[in-house]
Amino acid sequence: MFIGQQHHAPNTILKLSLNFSLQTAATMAAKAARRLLSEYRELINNETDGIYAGPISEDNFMLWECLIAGPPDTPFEGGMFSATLKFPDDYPLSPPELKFTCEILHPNVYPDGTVCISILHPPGDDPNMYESASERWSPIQSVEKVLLSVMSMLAEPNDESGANVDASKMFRDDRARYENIVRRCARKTVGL
Amino acid sequence: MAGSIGIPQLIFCAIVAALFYRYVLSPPQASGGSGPTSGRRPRATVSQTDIDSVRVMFPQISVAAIRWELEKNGGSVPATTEKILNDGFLPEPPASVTRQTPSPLPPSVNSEPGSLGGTGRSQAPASSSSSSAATTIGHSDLVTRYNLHSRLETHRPGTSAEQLSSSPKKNDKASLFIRGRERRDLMVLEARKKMEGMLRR
Repeated sequence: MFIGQQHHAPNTILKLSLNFSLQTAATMAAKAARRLLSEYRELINNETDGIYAGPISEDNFMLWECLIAGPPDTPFEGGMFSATLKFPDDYPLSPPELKFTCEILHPNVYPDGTVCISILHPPGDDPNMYESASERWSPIQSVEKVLLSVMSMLAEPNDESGANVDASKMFRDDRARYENIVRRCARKTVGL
Repeated sequence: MAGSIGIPQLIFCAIVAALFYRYVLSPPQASGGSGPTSGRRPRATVSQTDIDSVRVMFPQISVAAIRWELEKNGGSVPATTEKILNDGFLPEPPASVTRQTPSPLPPSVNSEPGSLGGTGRSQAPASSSSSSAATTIGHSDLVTRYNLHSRLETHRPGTSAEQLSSSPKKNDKASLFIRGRERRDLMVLEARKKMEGMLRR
């Protein structure tokens, strides 16, 4: 009895606060899902050349797959590069995470496929201050803008912020080999 | 007398009872078809999102194996991915665990021919010949992933989703998905044709 009573009060408080945070999380996730549905509708109704994005499964709007066409006049040309977009529950306050799911060699793509560009970084965490706030993530950005940024990233790698050190080095020192590997990756994406 | 049963004895009895319940009574209960929400689950709970994100990269690996691995490593997607890349596979969970796991993937992902988790595909994992620096994940090409081989011959370049669908544009969720998937498939087919043309030159 005595022991039980002692534990009763903190337990209730814990439960209440847990309930509260669960509810806040739920509203945030609902907001995110609403926003993502409208972005999806926009993407399907107004097609943008060379990009596709949409939820992988109808019952999870927080995980999308996307396709990005290799930009013309680059070794990526002709390839169709697939990636996943993982949205946080507080989207669009926080940016999504973009990860290639195909073989790709690029100075700004980590070996695990995660893309490293300024539009995917929240304005708060740039220790080097080399990215201006305007090109960072903010709620007025969108999936479409992210994918278009990735497309231009493919065309113009930034070898100063190398996410893949080997790729950066190869891009700088052995361009022919870099382009050869990229061309092979592009062919592979469409099964050739 | 009351003195013979004091608080220490009571606590001892309670502990013995709890241990008895825990180890003697619960196993039959757990295997008797209790869901994943039953209290007796020492491992980390794994979110469907995490399983999906691994599944997208490695469609050839079963959901049960992914769930099992995530439970073992505390729900870390990077660690799971790393393990698949290193070993080329994930061990299947023991039978007692498989029984507990709910339906593998949402049916829409699993059964639809055009979706990622399409059946009947046993892609070789981790191709060892890939170049050292290039990222090696998701080994199936898009034509295979979306099951488009049968449409390669019939596809005419320049077809767009608008020309194919005769029905007027609808904006409800279901038709959005149908149009979205169609657009995705067409983009892959177009890219394939373009690449074939580039290689011929």
